[in-house]
Amino acid sequence: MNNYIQSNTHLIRLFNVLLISILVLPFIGLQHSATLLVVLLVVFFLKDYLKVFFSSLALSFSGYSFSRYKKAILVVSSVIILIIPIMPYSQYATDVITLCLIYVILACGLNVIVGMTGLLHLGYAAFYAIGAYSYALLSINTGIPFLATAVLSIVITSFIGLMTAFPALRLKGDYLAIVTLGFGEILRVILNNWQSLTNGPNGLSGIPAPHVFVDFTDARMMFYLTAVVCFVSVFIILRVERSKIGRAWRCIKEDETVALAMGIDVVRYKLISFVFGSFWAGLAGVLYASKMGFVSPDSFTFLESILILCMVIVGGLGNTYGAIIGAFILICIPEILRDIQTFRMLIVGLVLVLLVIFLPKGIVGSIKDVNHTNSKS
Amino acid sequence: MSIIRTVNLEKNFGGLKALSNLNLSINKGSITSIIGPNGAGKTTLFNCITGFNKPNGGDIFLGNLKITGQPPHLIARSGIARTFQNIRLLSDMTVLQNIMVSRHINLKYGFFDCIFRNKHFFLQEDISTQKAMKFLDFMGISEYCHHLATSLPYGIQKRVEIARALSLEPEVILLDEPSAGMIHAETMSLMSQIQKIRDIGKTVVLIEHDMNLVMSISDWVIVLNYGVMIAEGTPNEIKNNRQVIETYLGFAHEHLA
Amino acid sequence: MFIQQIINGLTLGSVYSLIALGYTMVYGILEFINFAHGEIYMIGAYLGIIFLTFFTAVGLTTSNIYLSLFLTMILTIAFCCAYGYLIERVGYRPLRYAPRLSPLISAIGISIFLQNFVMFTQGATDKVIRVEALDGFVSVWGINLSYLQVAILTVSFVVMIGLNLFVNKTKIGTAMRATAQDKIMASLVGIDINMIISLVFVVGAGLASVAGVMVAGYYGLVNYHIGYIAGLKAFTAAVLGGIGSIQGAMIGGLILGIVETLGSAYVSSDYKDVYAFLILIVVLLIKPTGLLGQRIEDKI
Ligand SMILES: Nc1ncnc2c1ncn2[C@@H]1O[C@H](COP(=O)(O)OP(=O)(O)OP(=O)(O)O)[C@@H](O)[C@H]1O
Ligand SMILES: [Mg+2]
Repeated sequence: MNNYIQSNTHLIRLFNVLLISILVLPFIGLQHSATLLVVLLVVFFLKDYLKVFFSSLALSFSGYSFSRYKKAILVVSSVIILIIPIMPYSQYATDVITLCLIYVILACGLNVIVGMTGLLHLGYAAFYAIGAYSYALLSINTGIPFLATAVLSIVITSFIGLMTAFPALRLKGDYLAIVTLGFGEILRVILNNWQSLTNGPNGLSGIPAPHVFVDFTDARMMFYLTAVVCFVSVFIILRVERSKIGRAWRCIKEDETVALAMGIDVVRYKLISFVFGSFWAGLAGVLYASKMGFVSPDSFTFLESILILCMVIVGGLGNTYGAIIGAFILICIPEILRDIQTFRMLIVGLVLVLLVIFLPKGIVGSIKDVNHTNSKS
Repeated sequence: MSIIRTVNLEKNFGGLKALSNLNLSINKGSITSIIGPNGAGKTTLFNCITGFNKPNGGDIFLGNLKITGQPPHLIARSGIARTFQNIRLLSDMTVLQNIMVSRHINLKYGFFDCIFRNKHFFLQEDISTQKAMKFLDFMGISEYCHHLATSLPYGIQKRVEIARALSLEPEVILLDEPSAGMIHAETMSLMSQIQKIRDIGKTVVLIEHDMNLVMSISDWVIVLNYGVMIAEGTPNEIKNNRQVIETYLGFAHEHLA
Repeated sequence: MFIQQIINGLTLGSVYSLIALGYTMVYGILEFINFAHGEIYMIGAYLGIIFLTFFTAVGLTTSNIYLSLFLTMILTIAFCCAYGYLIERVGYRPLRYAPRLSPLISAIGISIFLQNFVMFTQGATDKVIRVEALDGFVSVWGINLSYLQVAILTVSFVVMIGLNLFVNKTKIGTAMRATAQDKIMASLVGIDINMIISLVFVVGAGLASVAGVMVAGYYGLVNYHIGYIAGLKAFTAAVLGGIGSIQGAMIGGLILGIVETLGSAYVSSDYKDVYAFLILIVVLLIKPTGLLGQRIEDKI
């Protein structure tokens, strides 16, 4: 019986491989499709060897106990990051790393919603945009001091988060995914069309830099401000994660029925998670707008939301350290490999699928797992 | 003194009458067993009491408090905890973490306490961890506290679920087939643990198919069939009830034989 | 004029209905939002254009336009059905028992991949097509119906009736409904669950591709991101009608099409993409089960 199923699946797999190359034929032409077929067939027949190769790779990897060096790795990498801006010729690197840190806040914030609570959020960039635009509009049009503007922008973002999530989170099912997706789309339409307020596709410029006692106009100062804010954000998120609130979120993620039976107000905690997550998007938006001095709808597209989602998934859903690493990887790699920009999203899509199938716990989560099995044996 | 009372409770699923016109009362501090053939509506009764199913008619009282149609988390807060027929432990978490999740309502601190980690926060967390360990001890499974919950043997997992329900510190605890899948020795120790739960002043309601367990520890037995209560009484009365023997016990005896 | 708008709305709406059916059938069986579904529609539109261009290039269109259109349709449907099958097979089946979030993420990944695959191979600019034979009107009581509108309305109508018959009257349709109700139970009575799930994806993709081809002809242009917007709206239509309900998806699509057309005509066309979303929010707030959906209590 088992054998029969086995051989059958092999045939079906072979059939699927053929099917793939036929299906792409109208799009890429005969020649490329034939090449693809050959490649797929080679992979298909070598996959057992590939499996052996990868598992032996993973095994050699697992020899290291990362958790033992966790503190050291953290400290060393933080120090490296912190001294980069004071090195000579580091203008470009400083900008990239500042951007990375902003994305760390975003990834950790989204991780609260998606990773810890298990709510799929497909419009996180929209909240990032609301933070950025609120800050831009308030600081250009009113004379309120920086800190008040920043706080106000973040409050606005969180409030809009609450309003958006409420209709979807009252219900069971994955309505939140579609509502957030739609919300991102609406916001794009509004930002592009409400000329008098947002200046449409041209965006808003002349946004003042942060001012706390001094002006943070210098890129280096901006970097250190971002670093401090980022550090505090991660710190707060970690603390909330390791409290009854974080536990309630994890329980909701895994089993809402159990959460209810334990007296956890599921709707309320989902809302808290969503608003708490939106808060960080607002904060990141403020940092971004004040660093760039310019915002436009282009920076907050659906693909931006997906990019942040990828950071969370690459690092490992529900793992704050993973989100940090994911943010660095996904910002730095495209910066290094600028040539692949054109089909970056093609790869992103593929990587998402492959990750959830083959590495569902992400990079950090998988390392943790390996250590766990090691320490047991 | 009754602690849970249902009045004319009705529950339909489409055309199926899962519970009809059910009037029952459960005494405070007792062990009450609910028995009946498969599909009799036992789990549905639990679901109605705990708010997971909304009754189509009738009322449910906890003491003097009417809890009909309340959302499950509020009922849990009012003092009813339950386990599930199919084990529902959180995977990826240790046993202790599982128990800590159910300490939720007893952990009295707010959002800002989490962020600032003040004395109050640590005090509350420490007390809760101790209590969680106490309940694990109570169920005789404290040695497993750092194991991944879903990697443990079935019998242990069932106990973890009971410990989890206990650590809500409820007045009433509903156990849905606690002994299912346990070997004989495990069932024996489970029996004494259930009695211990009653002895610390809690009311226990259990759904069980193991007649030996039911008859030896119950103070009161309620028999359901097709959503109707066909009998109730002390174990001895039930054992000798004609109708019960015909509809249920006879069947069970056949199976045991 | 108003009647004219209603007709336009119905045309648009039947396209949404066709796509919405795919969402609702998959949701009915797997309780999962197939985010990649809109891309099938987009691919259908592209394939329609590619095949028709091919037939024109080999001279078939000039010699026999109807055969050429017919072949285009058939080939597109066949290809899209295969896409539907493969997406499920490669992207979702390995995740059938994974945490709930995983297939959703996989679906998003597939959607992005397909969009960018098409953009990469076909270019980021609009692709234009014009079928002269179809540029014509019939006038009934002063209302102008273009040939394509007639075609879209007729084809959708026929296809939906066919689907209804298939689901309600055939043995496989019964197996589908049984699977939607209770997968384990269905498999115990000998229904091949995997086959049924594949079938649902294939049928859903086929319906979406019909919509895609017709829309390509109707608007005369496509681009790689039409699937994303249309998918969003079609999902809204499915929720509006009651997700999981086949008739609901049909009605929901039509309502949505009419509302959107009237909104663009009488309120503002800048915000035409916003109306669907507003409807979604209102439905979720007021009647989350949709028009025809039923509340199902979970078995615990
Ligand atoms: N959510 C639901 N939807 C539809 N029918 C349900 C639902 N929950 C329970 N039922 C039906 O109600 C009846 C009673 O079920 P219930 O689970 O209460 O039985 P039970 O007495 O617990 O049986 P068992 O001993 O097998 O656990 C059954 O026929 C069951 O199929
Ligand atoms: Mg039961």
